[in-house]
Amino acid sequence: MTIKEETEVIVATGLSVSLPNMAAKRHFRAAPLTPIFREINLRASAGQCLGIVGESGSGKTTLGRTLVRLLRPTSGTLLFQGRDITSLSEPELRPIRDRMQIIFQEPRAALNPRRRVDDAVSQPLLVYGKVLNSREAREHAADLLHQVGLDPILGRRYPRELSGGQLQRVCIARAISVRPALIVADEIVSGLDMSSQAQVLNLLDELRQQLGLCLVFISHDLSVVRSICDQVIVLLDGRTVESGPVAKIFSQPRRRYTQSLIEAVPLPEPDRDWLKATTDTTHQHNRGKAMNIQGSTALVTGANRGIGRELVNALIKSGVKKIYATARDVSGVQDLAKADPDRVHILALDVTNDTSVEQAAASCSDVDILVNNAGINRMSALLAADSIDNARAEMETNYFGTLRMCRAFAPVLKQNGGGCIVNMLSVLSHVALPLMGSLCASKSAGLRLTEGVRAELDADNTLVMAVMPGAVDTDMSRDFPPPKMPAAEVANAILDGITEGQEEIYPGEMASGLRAGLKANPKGVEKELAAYLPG
Amino acid sequence: MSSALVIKNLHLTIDNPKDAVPILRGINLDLRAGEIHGLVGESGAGKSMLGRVILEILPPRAKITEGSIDYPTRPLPGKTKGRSAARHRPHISLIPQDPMTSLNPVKKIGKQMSEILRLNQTGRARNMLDQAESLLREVKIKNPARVLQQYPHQLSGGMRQRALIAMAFSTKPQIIIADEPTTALDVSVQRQVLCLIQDLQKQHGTTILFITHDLGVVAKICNRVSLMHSGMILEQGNVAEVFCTPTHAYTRSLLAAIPRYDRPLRELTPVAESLQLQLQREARAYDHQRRN
Repeated sequence: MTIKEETEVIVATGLSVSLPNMAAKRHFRAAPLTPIFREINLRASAGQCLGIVGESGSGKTTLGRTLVRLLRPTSGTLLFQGRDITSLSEPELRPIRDRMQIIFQEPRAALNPRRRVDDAVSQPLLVYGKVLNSREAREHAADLLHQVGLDPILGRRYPRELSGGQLQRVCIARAISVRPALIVADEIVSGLDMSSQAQVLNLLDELRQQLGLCLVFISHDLSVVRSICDQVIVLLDGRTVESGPVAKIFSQPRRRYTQSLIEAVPLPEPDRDWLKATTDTTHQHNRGKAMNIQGSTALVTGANRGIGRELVNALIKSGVKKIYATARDVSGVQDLAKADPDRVHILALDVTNDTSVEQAAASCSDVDILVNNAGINRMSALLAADSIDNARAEMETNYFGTLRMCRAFAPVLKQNGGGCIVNMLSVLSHVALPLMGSLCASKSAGLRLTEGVRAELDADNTLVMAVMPGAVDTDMSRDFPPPKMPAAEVANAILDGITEGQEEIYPGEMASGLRAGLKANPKGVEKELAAYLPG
Repeated sequence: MSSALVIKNLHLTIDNPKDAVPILRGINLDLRAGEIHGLVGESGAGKSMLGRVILEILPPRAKITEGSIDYPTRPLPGKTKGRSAARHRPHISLIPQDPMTSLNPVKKIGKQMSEILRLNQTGRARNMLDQAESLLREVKIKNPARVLQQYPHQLSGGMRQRALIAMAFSTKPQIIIADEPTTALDVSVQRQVLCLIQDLQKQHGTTILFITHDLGVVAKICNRVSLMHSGMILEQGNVAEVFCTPTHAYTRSLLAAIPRYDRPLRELTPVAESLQLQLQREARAYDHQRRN
């Protein structure tokens, strides 16, 4: 444990920064605080390179500045070489400042135009008292310039006389002059041409190995990140969308956002259709939570028939890595497993039984898409029924079953870096029908449950989706008159919802029409529905 | 296919007190009407200078010593209000690199856009603003009326670049010089801006000279490409040919310098020092030959 703490150069836990919103200041006495990034966890050891990626405005630069304590975190803790530096004051930080360095994007702006290159490079040595006089400092500067592959003669030049690639090397030389343990490199190659970029990246990689540097590499270019980093954190709107080893993120991105960042890198291969596939998702709500179904692991309850069964088929078609097809009675799912034994795993699961659910959560620890599909309909009225047994049974499966599953699997999803919970409800969540009152009540409770779970899981980056179809062509609604929607279409709508990060979906014309009608004239819709239903 | 611009054997030097430094060395470039032509090279290759030659905004000490620039389809200079006709070139415009420094920070977007429109037509200020609004809508800015009333610092980088693209297309030019238009943007915004440039280019049939150092961008948007080094064009051709079967060693080594996420990890190979020196030597030999 102690050894681990020593090699870990930087550890951030639940790190958040809020900055005053100066634009809104005139409306208030003090400027209100705007969160720039929230609840970031990261760790990087000596000799390791951690990539921070995200589009502009995602908070990656602010995060980089906070890691070297140019900014004070609003909450969370920041350990540097095992020492808590979260709220150290500037004088307290000074003795360790030389061990953390930052390199900025624009080398021309980062170097004093009136100072010769070797003065710039050796200035930190004088400031931190590593050398006695400027002559000695200049000798060191020559060594440093040599180390970053520059001719020491260039030391007597001014920044304006050097090219961008050379200047960025000067900045690197300046950063390594004081032998830091941590270097934050903020977009340092985005202004350079391809050849200089390759040179600077190779240099950085060499220095990391030679000096055992811990490198935090901030970039929006995923190709560059892949070529230099070991670990990656993907940011969107100041939150972690996903994180992990670089190879895994690239081969199997779990989030659509990560995938879109990867695909946005133009590869040097002629392709006239590449631009045609461009979609503007900048304003899409919730896009950090949109999942990539390909390569994910799903669990579907009530998979033996109806929508559950179709969903298993649809998930397999979309390239899911593994799927747990569960049901109370597994005899109805055996054929699914036979069709694709590598991917489909059968599990007996009764959502009304605490032990059964807990066991499932323990044995399926790799799930990242949970579909709570199991539900029953006893076609029971509230007052006209003989007893409340039917209502109780419906509530037990539809409401408590879902709640039990959410409670058991929320820690599993959290451990897997967030995921997706799909709760199978009905458009009846919004309406009360005279002859199916208890079902409507349980579905309505399910909708509120979904919203509550969503609120609680917001920080975990988990998508919580409510699916509310109209009449679907399954055993459950066999007494319903047509039109009924094929179950496979509902399944496809669910998959679309997951990949788009939707929180509520109303598959089919009946459901979407009802939804629109309910907003305009709820009582009228209820009357119409009552006339439609059997009995 | 007809040409929009033909440059023949262009030589350009910058006069220093002591000597004249050659910047462009015998450039031959034929921009075909309606194409996007990529101009690629490392920094210092002279690609921006070539763009400035076409735009006729050369620095004071730069001098064209030889060669010709022809616009086969250039319209006759029209009537302009109170401005010198010689400085007025509505048939050609520029999409600059840095959207922040290319916009006037103390003027609202609407004012800056209508200034350009007013140079090219007569009409009321109100009409100009209406036109500016429809131009902003054309570049897919969500709330154009509001953006017209904003200052550049209130917009994001992508929005600023969109506004500049709208301004570039506002005079209905035949040729646009796009000088690293997406270098300052992140990859997702870059993709959207490239898509926008391509759409507008198709719609208006504009010819674009696309200056960049990113071969990836060239592969996705350009029809033809020219590779420059030390003020010379080393390789020129269709994008598909140049990328799939590069003939010049420099092209091959530039392609090898690009990190790729879709290939197994390997060390990056920058353009070899020896090749750089060789190209510089060849350039000097070329100068020497010309002097004698």
